[in-house]
Amino acid sequence: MSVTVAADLTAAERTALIEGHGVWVDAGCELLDADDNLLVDISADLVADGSSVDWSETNTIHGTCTIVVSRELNWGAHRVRPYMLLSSDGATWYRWDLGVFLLTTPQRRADITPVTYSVAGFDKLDILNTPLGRSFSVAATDPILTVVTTLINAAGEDRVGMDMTAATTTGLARVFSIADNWTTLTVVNDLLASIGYFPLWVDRTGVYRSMPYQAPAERATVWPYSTASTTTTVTDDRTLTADFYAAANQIVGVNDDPGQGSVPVEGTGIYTATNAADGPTSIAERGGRITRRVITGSYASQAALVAAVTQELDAEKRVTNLLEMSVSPNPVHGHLDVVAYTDPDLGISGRYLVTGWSLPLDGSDMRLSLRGV
Amino acid sequence: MTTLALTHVFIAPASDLTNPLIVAQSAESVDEATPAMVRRYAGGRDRMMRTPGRTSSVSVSFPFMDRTTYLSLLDLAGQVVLFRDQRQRRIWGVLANVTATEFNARDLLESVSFTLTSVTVNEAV
Repeated sequence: MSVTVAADLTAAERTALIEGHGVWVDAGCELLDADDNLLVDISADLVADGSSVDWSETNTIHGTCTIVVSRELNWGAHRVRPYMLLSSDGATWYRWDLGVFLLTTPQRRADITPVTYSVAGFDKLDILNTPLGRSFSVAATDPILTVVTTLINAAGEDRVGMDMTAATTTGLARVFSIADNWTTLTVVNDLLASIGYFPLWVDRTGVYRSMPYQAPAERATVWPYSTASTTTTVTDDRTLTADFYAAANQIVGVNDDPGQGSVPVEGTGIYTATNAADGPTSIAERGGRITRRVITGSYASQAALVAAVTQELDAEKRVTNLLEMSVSPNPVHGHLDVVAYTDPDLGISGRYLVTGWSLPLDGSDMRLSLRGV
Repeated sequence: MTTLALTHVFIAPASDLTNPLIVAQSAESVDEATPAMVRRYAGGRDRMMRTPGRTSSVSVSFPFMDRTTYLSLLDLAGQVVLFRDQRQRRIWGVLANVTATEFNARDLLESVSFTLTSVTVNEAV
């Protein structure tokens, strides 16, 4: 048996492996110290049944895991790095690391011998998700990415891999008061947002990352799923929800820029856009029901406000497709994933943002939550 | 060449190999299960998904067994044991599913059987 890192696979080889007619699935887990250095591989003590790695795009801590192990660990200090192995022949295996996780409170099962523990883990954002404990200020001239890196370093973490191509490197002068109970993570994410960056995440190897915001519609797809493909890995277990009920058909935009100097009124500081009869979310199609949303922000001009409101209403006109489905194990999935999805049975085809996924380590099919973009 | 013909099986708990249960020769059947399954995907596509390894279990049966031996056998149920059969094969496994039929003899049971599901044991020291 040989194990090779999956990064060595070409795209075609990776597709052939994951979509092949037969797949061997195995999983393992490594124990790491507080600096992510390997201590020992504990795969022999990993109980794959019940172990999983889960990801959510929207949660404060994106990555979580559940690890079932038949040995006691130093729960408060050790980290774990679960991984998945795939093979097409049972001889040559390819490995995907699935993240670095800090362990929480273990639960010991009394009905199993040998002693078995089930423990949840959070990815390394959890280290930053603690009150800053002091007031913190940023000058208008401070380079934001350097400030962010310094904050992460101050939390004892030095594996940081920021995309340094920010168009804007400095923000406004800011004071994060201790009275507002900022955490290191919320400060970091606030600073990143100020220069148009994604909130912080930790990649599958344990490196803190962020990059300039990119709309889902503009991102490259990480995987093409199609139920019509002869090599499909999509199961029959899939549910489409057309989320038009809560979609707004009237958007009221308010420019709250204090520099405007006067109470905003319609046409000057306020712009209202209404979808009277365009599509299933319109007022006409909803039987005359108005679902109104108010958006506020600082806009340089009334034209900028109109553009923002129009963009928002355009998005609301498109019925949001939410899809829950199962696919065979695909450890390629990570953060900010967009997939192409075609499903003639459900009558949909297009790009979908992966809002969450759950990968069992026992080889069971994984769950994907998708949102149309 | 000397041929050693064993007429008994040897069952000892892994925790104490010096205290074996020795029972007259038995019948055995072996079941080797491969953890492979065929899953159905959209459009009726069937694929094999499997995990490594193989599950091996041995069903061992005895036509008759005295009650004292039977009770000793019950004590081993649920434990990891070292089983050596009359062909000297060594199998580490979990002894379970002990069954027996009572009949018209106070100290004997008939059709006694158990299953032994193999476990991975590292004997390196």
